[in-house]
Amino acid sequence: MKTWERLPHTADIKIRVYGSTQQELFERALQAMFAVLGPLPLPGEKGRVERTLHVKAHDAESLMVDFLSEALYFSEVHSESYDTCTIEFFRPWEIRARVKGLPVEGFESGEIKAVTYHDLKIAEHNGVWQTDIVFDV
Amino acid sequence: MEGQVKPTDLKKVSDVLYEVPQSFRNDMRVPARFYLDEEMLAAISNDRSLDQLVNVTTLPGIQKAAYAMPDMHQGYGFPIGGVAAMALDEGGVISPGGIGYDINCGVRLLASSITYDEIKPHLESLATNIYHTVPSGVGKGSRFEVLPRELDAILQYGSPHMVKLGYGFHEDYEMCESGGCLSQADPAVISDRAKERGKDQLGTLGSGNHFLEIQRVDEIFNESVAKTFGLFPGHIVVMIHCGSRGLGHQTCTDHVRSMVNASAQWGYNLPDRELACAPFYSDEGQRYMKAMSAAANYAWANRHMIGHWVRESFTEVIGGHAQIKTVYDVCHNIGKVEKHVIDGVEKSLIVHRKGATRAFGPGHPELPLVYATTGHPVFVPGTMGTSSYVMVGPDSGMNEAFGSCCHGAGRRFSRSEAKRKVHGGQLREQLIREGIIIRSRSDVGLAEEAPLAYKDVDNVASVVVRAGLARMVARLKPLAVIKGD
Repeated sequence: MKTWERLPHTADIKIRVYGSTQQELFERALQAMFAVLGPLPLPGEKGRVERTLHVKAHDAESLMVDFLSEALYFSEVHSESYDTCTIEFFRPWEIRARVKGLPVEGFESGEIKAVTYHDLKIAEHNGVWQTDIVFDV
Repeated sequence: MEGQVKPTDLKKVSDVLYEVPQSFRNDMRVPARFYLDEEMLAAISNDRSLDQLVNVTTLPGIQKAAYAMPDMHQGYGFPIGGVAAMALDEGGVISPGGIGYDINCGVRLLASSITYDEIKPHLESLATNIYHTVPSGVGKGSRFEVLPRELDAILQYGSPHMVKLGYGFHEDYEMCESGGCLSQADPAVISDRAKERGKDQLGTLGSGNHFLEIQRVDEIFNESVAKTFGLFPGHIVVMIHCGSRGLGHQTCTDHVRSMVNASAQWGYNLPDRELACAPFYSDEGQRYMKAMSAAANYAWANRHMIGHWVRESFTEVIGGHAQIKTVYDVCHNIGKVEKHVIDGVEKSLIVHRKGATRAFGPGHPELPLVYATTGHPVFVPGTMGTSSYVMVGPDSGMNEAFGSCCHGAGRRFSRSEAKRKVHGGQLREQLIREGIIIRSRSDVGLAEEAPLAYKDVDNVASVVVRAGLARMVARLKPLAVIKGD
């Protein structure tokens, strides 16, 4: 199964993410967001970093936006990028996740201003969970 | 797809103005009008900007029409280049998506007394100096961190507070849309998260299509207006394009979230969640207005700070005789309460401009005195290495699109397509061969912002003029492009 792919969008970044479960979809969405940003590791820094994200929302799509927005917030204030995401707790509509990554001096693609709701629809087709996500850059 | 605008649905009003009539869809409250010529119309047939513009016409309280400028392209919710005005006293809504995540992204132009011949031997040094002085703020922050109480004051008072702190002059905010401060601001409604992001980003450019350019006044089209603006052939100007940074992005994110929740309670059936809105006078509407105003004030303070550092760089490299004045500062992602006459009746409106710029002509009470008889300057930045334009509103004072104009060239290719077509390193070398100095860390970033990814700014400006939205004043040519360290 593909994990994620980039789709065309005139001004921003659009991805399509796949997962065998909703939980896996959320984990991959976070990893995809940072992969598409292209982290530039801080020279000389070898250590890994770890954060816990905990968000609640009123539906699946809002949870996705809030979850990724939370990751972006931590990324910006701590200058970090996350490549591993393990969801410890997932229920409608709440997530607690542990993310791991590294300190960065920036990202190849600059920065993501925000996660948008545009075209975001989490749905299952033939046993595969899928959604599109547009990031404002 | 059903419901999508097709060429046969369009009504041609003039060579540069088209309309999707209100009859196109049941939920439209007003028509959708957009300014393009025939060639540009073909170019947007593959994106969804027209469908998005039609969606905007469904919003409660919208007046006259939803407008899109010639640099229009697909956004989310609202198209980029969109203008929509809702009547405050008719249940009109305010929508964060109609303003954008980068609240008060805008352009400031500084003019110097220095000519091209004088600056030429110093250009490389000046570009390097500015590059190291004005950070991008991505990955690492500003040159300083703002204390919480000071940040609140900046959110409340904007540019004027920066002068109080000892940066710049009062003319810098007098020559600024809204005097560099929206009085509705309330720092208390800016979230802790937004303040955490904003505390070390003051005086930073950001990334993407944000830039700082040293330019030369290349051609004057309207001598008397140019003279009033302080623009003379061969003189050096500096253009700064940036916004409210992480503070603004977080603020919009926070309020889109609460509006998405509120829209359901208000019973709005939105074609796109990014159109989430609430009546201007509702609790959610007022909270967002206050937050948006505070974030806008932060953006003005940001451009003010960068302008101050540009002055310092000029003094350090060229000398103290380099007088740098602020020509003007315009917003292109903003919501403004304005009075407009509609069918003979004056109404208070919340005018949303997302990728669109105000263009008031002569006589408007909000103009600085020196621009009372001309109208305020309007800046249309080109793409990297291409011309930018200075324009001014129409002689009549107010154009039909609530006194609005385009904000730049507008994209036509996606970032990934631009990277496929353009190699960043080769683009850098090509621009250098054309005599343009580049200071940018990322070749990937350069490729994404390649001129061919954008519409032709000359075409966009031409349509603006032919449509009577604004008048041409001057063309500016880039000498150095700085993208922030």
